[in-house]
Amino acid sequence: MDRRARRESADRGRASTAVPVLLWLPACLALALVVLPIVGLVTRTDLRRFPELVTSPSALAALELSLRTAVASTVLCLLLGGPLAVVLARAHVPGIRVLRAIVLLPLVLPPVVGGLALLYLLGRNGFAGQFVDFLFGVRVPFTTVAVVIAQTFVAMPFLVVALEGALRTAGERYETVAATLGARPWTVFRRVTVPLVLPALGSGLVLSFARALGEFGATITFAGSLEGVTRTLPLEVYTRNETDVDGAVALSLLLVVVAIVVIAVARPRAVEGRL
Amino acid sequence: MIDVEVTVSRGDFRLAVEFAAAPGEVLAVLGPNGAGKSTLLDVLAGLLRPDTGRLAVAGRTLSDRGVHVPPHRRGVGLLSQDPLLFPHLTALGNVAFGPRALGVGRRAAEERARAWLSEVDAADLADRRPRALSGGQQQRVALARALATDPALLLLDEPFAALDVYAAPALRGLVRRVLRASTDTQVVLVTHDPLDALVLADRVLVLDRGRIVEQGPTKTVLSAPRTPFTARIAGLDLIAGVACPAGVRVADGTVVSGVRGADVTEGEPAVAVFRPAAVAIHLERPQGSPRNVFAATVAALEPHGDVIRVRTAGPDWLTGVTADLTAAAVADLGLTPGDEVFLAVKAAEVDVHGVAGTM
Repeated sequence: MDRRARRESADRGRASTAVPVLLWLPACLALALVVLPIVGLVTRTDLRRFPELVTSPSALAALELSLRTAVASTVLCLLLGGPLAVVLARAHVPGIRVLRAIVLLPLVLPPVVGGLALLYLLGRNGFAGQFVDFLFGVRVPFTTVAVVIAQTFVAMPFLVVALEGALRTAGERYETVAATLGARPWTVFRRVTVPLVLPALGSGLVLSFARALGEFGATITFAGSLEGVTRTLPLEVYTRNETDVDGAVALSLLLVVVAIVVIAVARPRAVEGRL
Repeated sequence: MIDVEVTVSRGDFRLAVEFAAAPGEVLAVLGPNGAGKSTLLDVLAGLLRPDTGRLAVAGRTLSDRGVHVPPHRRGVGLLSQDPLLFPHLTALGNVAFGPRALGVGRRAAEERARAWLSEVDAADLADRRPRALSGGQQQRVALARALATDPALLLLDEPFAALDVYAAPALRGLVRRVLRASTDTQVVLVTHDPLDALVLADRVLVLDRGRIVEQGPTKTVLSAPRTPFTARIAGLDLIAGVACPAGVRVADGTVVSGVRGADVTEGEPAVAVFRPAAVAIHLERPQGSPRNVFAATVAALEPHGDVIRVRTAGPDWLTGVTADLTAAAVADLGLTPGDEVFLAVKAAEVDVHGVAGTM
């Protein structure tokens, strides 16, 4: 039935090849808005000095920090956001709709507001911050851990939304069948639920990783911009732009390349419009 | 053996049933939409916890006060309208899933899966993914998967409803063959199709609004229905009233004459049952032999196999009675919805049965 529906929608797509002429102009403008800035970036880059610019010690430190923190926050998204998505999609508890809405908050909130919120939660005067300080003698803000927390905060909804949608589309019927076949809940989860949502999980992780890699606002508010500790690639670009425009442009181009690689290699389904 | 006596409420709906099935018996559950068939299946599968009562299969208590065996420890197999094969596994992987989940080793599980696949004539499909199988093939693999765990109770939920006219009879025949072979499996079949019940079931149970309104051997129930629903799915006409010497007297005093069965008691509720093919339609009031002549209005004309089924409307007791006519007869009479006609049924074609209680 699924396949038939898909074929029908494909047929419908074919039938509507005649796009109204009126739409072409704004469509081209939209595309130009996306593509031209990148072109501008490329033309502004001194390509001969590019390797030298992106391998400067501070650039390499920022790149390494960015990759490390983005990987760490993607893992956190998986370990925390994955179970959250399952609970949101499957648990029958009152108020779950409200929870679903709340999870989307970081997606629509300006990241800088998220950073401030984290600062007042985990900062020296925040109630959780005082607690952590008292228990472990540790201060979270302006550390690499703070970078990871800020990135997880903004990136997790991408994973949760992708995964929860896939879980709800897949429905519980496969799981019911698996249970009647004698599979325990954990076996059902491992051998049926997870494989069914694997594609969505993959694209959710890629999106989360990309979002974490590009995170700026929450990081600079909550973690600051300390070279080698909290100055990730986007922060390095921002800082460099004050003094060394060529370096900033080269690093920007590096981020663009990383983004294109992410889209090309992992092809998140959300990007292809099949979430 | 199944022994059930449960009540369960879901919002406004309440299911209260009590029935038993002998070892190896195939029990068909019939009923209109919303009668509680799926609720009953959910209770049997352990997906829904009954409010009160008990449920035992093959001498093992599955539900009772303080006892609720979860679905994965029940030993029930479920085959529904949608095959629901796990899309990420091959046909073989699907069938081997149950044995694997029950702790059988990989090789032994696959061996068992192969045996079941050949049992359902699908041995050559073992390495295919569900997406590469037709609807009928998928349903065969799903049947093998449900049987591979050797369930004590097999639940069939409209298993042929989604198949086309060629695949459905083939699979029905296959299910019949397989069920005959495994006599220790208890089967409950939910269906809308009287053919499923006739081919597969030893006994039928008719549910309506959460209660059992009729049960008994398949042929008896379907050939002598006591409720309008059973009559409709058996393809028979049914008029309810009170038994009188000639047959059945309905609310407005009209008498439907017929052949009285042994179970009819004067003055008690009774039904008159006849085949739609026994109903003749006349534009003028017919003279002569037929003793049952009722004025009615043509409500609808529907194709039904190679005849036209004419649905009629009239007084409450008559509304819904159908007549099967050939296309030529319908054309000769020039019938269209809204026409005033006379229905004629020979008394010899009408069976009268006693029924318990009012309907």
